Amino acid sequence: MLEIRNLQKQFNRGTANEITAVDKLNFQAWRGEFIILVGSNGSGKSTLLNLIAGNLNADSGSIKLNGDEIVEYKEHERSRLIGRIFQNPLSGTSPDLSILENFRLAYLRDKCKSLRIGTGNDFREMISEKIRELNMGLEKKLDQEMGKLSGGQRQALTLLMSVFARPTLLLLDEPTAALDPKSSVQLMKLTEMLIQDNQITAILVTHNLKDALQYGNRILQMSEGKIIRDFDAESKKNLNLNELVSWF
Amino acid sequence: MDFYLSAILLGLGFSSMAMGIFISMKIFNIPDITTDGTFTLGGALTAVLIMSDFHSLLSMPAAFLLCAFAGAITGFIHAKMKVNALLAGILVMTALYSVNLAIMGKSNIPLIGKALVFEIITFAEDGNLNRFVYLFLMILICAFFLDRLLKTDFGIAMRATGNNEQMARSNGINTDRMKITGLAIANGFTGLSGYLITQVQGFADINMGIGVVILGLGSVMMGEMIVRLFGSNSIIIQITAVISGSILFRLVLAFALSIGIDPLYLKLVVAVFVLLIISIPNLRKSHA
Repeated sequence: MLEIRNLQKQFNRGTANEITAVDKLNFQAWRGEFIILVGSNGSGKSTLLNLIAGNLNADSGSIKLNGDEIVEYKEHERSRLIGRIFQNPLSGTSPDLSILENFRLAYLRDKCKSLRIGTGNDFREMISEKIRELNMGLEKKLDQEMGKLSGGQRQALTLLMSVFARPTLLLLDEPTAALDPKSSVQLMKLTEMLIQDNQITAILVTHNLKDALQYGNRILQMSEGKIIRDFDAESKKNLNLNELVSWF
Repeated sequence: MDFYLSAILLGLGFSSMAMGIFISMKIFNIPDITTDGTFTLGGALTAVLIMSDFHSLLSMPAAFLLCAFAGAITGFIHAKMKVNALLAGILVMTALYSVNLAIMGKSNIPLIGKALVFEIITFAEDGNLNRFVYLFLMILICAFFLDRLLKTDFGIAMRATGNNEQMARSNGINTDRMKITGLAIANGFTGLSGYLITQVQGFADINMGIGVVILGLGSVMMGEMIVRLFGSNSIIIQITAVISGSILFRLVLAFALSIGIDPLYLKLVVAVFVLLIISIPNLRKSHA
């Protein structure tokens, strides 16, 4: 379970350009909950995700994951519990490393990076089987450099990598923003399936209101660093696109 | 012919340093100027230990470890104190000048009348050939070690840190620690080069490291051109290309001297040559 209490983040503190990106924010997310986070540009959605992931440090407040206070953890320490998908397909993978090596790092996320060569046949077979689920034919290209794949392929692999070590929480920051419509639909379906199968708590930031209605079992709206609307699974079912548009 | 063999010997000796630059520059994308200081540090320590009647093989791990420590300091200043990598390297390099002088006690130490590493095991009667075999084996071991290291889980994490730091952190890698360790290993290799070159040339000099970073950079760039010829990006090909680059670089300098270029202009030749290596691929791209 994710529990956020009085989380605050300001930029340019003490100057004329001071901005409160996240303002004394409170919310809880339960295991297996797939939360859709919407809001205008600058409402604080991405900052909130960065604060949870540890990419940014909070000015004050608490972030608890399964009861553990993680606000003092560094980003790499939090990543043992949190998987991330970025807006830019280039951000989630290492372009010069092969698909197999990228997955090796995902596998080792919560483990020691020792002086062992771990990309042997057993590991190769395990990854090949895992990647076959994507139906992209990438299981035959495990030695190919990640940088030579398309944005959609990279984003799908990033998603698979991020749930590989069974994270407690999955953060998705507009993962389909740079993808074509077909790849976007494929990725969103895959996301939903992986979240349900692995019972992961997930937060998806999106500007695509159709996706916001179609996917997830809870919807939150942020404005000026605060959550101003919170619809659970039941009340989300009664929402329609026009109503969602009228929020903005 | 001996002239070119000497160039090959120097190329082999310097290729350990080129491997160090390969780690800092190509793996971590960090221009590490510490190299100029750690090359001399490796040579200085080797000369002092040999002149103090320590076994010349013993000075090898000593040079590696001390230079690795210096590299770790650069890494710490950069990663933990958030100082620009270039500046961190310049700071440590500057400090090392005094450290090297303190270790040496004077500006030049000739290794006269002492058993050098090439004399411990004899592979061939001819002195230069014996040195060649010894250096070749040493570099082969270094290349094998580096290739293996970069394929381990730790090595993959190192490569990811330099390739996409955000991704590395998102996958539980302590990127600060990786940079510190990586720069330590890179400078350890450079120290090893100082150890070898001091014994190839038979002396250590306080100024022996000035500008070596550009030699290393030139070797790595030349290696990159060779990699393009092979069309493969495997680690062992990249390392082999860096070693070949180091030897080719020395051969080009030897050729420049052999056609009568004044040694006074040697550094100018080096700079122009490196500029050519760096710019030719970009010029080709812009004309394509």
